Amino acid sequence: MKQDFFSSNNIKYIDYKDVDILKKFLNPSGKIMPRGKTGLTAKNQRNLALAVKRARFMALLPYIAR
Amino acid sequence: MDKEKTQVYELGYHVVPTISEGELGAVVFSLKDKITEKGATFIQEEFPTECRLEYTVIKDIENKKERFDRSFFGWLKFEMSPEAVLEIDEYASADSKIIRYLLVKTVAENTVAGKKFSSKGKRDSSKEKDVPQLSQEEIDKQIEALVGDDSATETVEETEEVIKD
Repeated sequence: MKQDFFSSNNIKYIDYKDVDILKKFLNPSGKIMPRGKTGLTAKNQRNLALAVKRARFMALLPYIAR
Repeated sequence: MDKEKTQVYELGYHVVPTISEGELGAVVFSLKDKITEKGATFIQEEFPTECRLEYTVIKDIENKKERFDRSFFGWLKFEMSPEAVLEIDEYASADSKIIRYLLVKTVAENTVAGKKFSSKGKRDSSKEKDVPQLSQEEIDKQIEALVGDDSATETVEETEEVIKD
């Protein structure tokens, strides 16, 4: 069975402070990539979205990238 | 404290960039003091370090809108009761030195895994190491050897290697 990024790297909790990891799943304009592109499980995609939104609120990630 | 009624929380916070290191320590100390007062046990923490904000954060300080592009970002992870954490939330929102904060439920294990995945710029730096640094005189000498002396085949080979690199 093919594993997603977080499962294969043994990351159980997606932290909003891990901006380097979160940036891998954003497109150039700062939007969260769809599940079809990220290849994540539904659960990890939901947790990723939550972490990205928290990081945006804390100004660690942009809402809109230029 | 009853372990069944506690929850692990994390408080991430941005402190104003205009304060000195001594004042920064005082802000963190008072925040930790308040959390300890409520019977919390600390699990992990990171002292605030200066960071660039991804967008301008606006905060009302003494009825004046202040804009911030930089801040000191730090976080605290602790275990406490859900009732007591509301007071920490109020305290953090009332502190004028804290620009923005986020109080979330988390797990006790270390959740920051990012540093081993950030490989930005590593390849470039390794390439730079391989390139030998030659002074202008050395380059001139090698050019002269190339043009004037046919017997200096070794120098020619060395120069070719340098050019390839």
